[in-house]
Amino acid sequence: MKYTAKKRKFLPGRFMQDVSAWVLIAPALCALMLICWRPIFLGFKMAFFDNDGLKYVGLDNFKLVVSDVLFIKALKNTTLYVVWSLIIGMGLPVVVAILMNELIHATSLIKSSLYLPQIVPVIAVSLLWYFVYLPDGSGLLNSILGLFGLSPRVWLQDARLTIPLIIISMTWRGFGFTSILYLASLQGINRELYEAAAIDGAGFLRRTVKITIPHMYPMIMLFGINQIKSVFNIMVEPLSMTGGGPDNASLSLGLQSYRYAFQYFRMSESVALSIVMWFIIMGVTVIYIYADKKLEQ
Amino acid sequence: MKKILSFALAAAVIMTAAGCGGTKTAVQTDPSKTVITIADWPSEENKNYETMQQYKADFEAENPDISIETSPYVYATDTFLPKAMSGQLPTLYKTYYTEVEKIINSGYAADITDMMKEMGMADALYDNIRDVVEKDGRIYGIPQQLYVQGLMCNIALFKEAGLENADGTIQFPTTYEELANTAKIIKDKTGKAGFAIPTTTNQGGWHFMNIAWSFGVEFMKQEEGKWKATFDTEECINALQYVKDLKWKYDVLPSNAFLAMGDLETQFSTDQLAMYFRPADSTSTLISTYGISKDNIAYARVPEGSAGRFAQMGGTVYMISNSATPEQISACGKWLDFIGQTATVDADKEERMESDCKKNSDNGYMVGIKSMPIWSTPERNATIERLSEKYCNIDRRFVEDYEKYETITITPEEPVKCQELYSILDSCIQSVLTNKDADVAQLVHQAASDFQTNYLDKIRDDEM
Repeated sequence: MKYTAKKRKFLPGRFMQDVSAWVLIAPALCALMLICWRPIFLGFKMAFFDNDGLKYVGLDNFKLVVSDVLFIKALKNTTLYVVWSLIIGMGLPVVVAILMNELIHATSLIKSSLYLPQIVPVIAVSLLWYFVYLPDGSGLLNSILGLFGLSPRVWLQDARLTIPLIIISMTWRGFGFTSILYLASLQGINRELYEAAAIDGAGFLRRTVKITIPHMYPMIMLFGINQIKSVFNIMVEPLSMTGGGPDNASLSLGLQSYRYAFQYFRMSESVALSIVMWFIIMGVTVIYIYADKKLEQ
Repeated sequence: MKKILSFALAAAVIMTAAGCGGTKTAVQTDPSKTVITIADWPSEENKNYETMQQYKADFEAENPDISIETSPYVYATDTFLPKAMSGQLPTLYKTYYTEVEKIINSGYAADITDMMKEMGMADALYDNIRDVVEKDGRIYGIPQQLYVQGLMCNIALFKEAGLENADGTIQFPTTYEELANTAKIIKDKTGKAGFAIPTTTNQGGWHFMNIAWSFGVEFMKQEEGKWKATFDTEECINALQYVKDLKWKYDVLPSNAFLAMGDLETQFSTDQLAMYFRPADSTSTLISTYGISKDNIAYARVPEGSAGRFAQMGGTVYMISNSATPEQISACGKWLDFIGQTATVDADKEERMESDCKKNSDNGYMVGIKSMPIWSTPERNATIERLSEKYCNIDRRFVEDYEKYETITITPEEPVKCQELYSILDSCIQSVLTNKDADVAQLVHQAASDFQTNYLDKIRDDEM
């Protein structure tokens, strides 16, 4: 039977036909407009006005935040956060998911255990790791070092270590959940592929490289973008663990934006910096997707 | 039928959603009344709750045209701006001297000059306090409390370290060199930190001012209408070197270099820290929150440096929301007058002040330290002094050194961009405390340069 698309009537007839759907979606749509779009629009507008919101100042706020002596430092630190998060936090969930996929017993227990840190609030995790990293003998890491007769270290106070240590605390919280998502993806792979590979003599490593990783690749790329985006906005962890120190070694763009708003009451500059951050993330994401497509080709 | 059912369901969803936001508790207020919201209202568990509720009832009975709504909101830097921008500020709120400049510049405080004049308060303010709340000849705040930074000492740790005189008092350090040596003795004898300075959230820079001024540092000056950073000097290098020496030469600071005021409060109250800068009028938090006994707290003046003895002036200020009407401003003035926070005193106000004093004494808070006067009205100051003596519950030998105000150069905050300056100094302090090889001269040079280019060169006319 040949299907012929029925020419749909426009308003009001079509609207009346879908009226139930419109009515159902209306609250969510209104909430989205009020809670998301309106603040974004107002924030964007605010960046072009002075802090009183009365005088149009053009791009002055953008010039101020970009010419701030801390901007380059914060940008560099933020990039370091992203790089360290990719180094520490991107591979670990993949490995854990692959290992879990090989497990036969106690999978539910392990999945629950891995998921637990995710439900702990960010601020609590930050404080927990702050105590782990305490520089005197009361810090957990230094207590462990003490058991082996090693002298305590200053951890977060070492400017070279601050960012990777903060990333470790973030990874501890987030990798379990990501692993479970990867695991769900892995469990969608046809087991016959593994069996066939095993019959052909492929070991665990070869099966992983030839079957598992290619299957997971789109998801890894998706999580990669998401990780870059979320780590680029990092603010709570350095604020609660180091205050941006020592000597701004852990200052991120997000924290700098927070300082403009809440320490100096310069909201317009804070919003301007957030918009600059938005453009940077957009640029990075576009490059990432473009590179990914090129690789696929 | 199916369509009708789905439509009914959808309509029900909307009605429910609308209902969620629509059940606002209606507070019926007489439209002829002026309603004001007072912040910092104690919770029901607080010892002062009953008293404040009684004050409210008495005030409303005395002023039937005014209605008071209470708010538990306590000023905090991270909550103030969202409240102010969304028009949710209480009509009357309290803040700190350190915050006044930026609140006025941001436009979130009402001009209360007319009310102050009408109530006879404008001319009763001492000049140095007036400078804090005034801009371009207009007044924006009513000082509640004035204090000067002192050196708070943990008596138990001093005694444990043998720093006790024959009469049972303790040996206060009088110079910065003595401070370092005293802290060293305490650290060696007790293993506890001898001294501490906060290092984060701009509080490091704030405390550093006491040391820097005493070493002769001048942070900024105005030349031909432009502000210049003037602290790239030998004096500032010496002051920062002193902080560095406390860590690396004397080793008297806590091992953690990321410390906010809350950390210092905890450590001091649990006998883990012997000394830090703190004004004497703010011990109630330590006593009520951390449980330290008032008898374990002693106060000395800040030490003397090569340029003298400089201590930062601080305090709390009442401010009125920028959205307040003239009637609300007037009502707030009446309320403050009622609770005895204005320049004058009468029998009723004295009775209330006495009641507060007695309660503080009974509740174990420190009563008996002579405070700095805010108002130049002798009757009020005499009343405060008399009540302080009457309900004194401390051994005054442990605070008398602190009260020698005439020997201290009491200094207000720097005139512009204080928070920004403190932030830069925070970084310098963190550097010298975390890096043994930090180049102090280079840090000071960079800090002065950054402060000039980043802040002073970009200062707006309305911030001058």
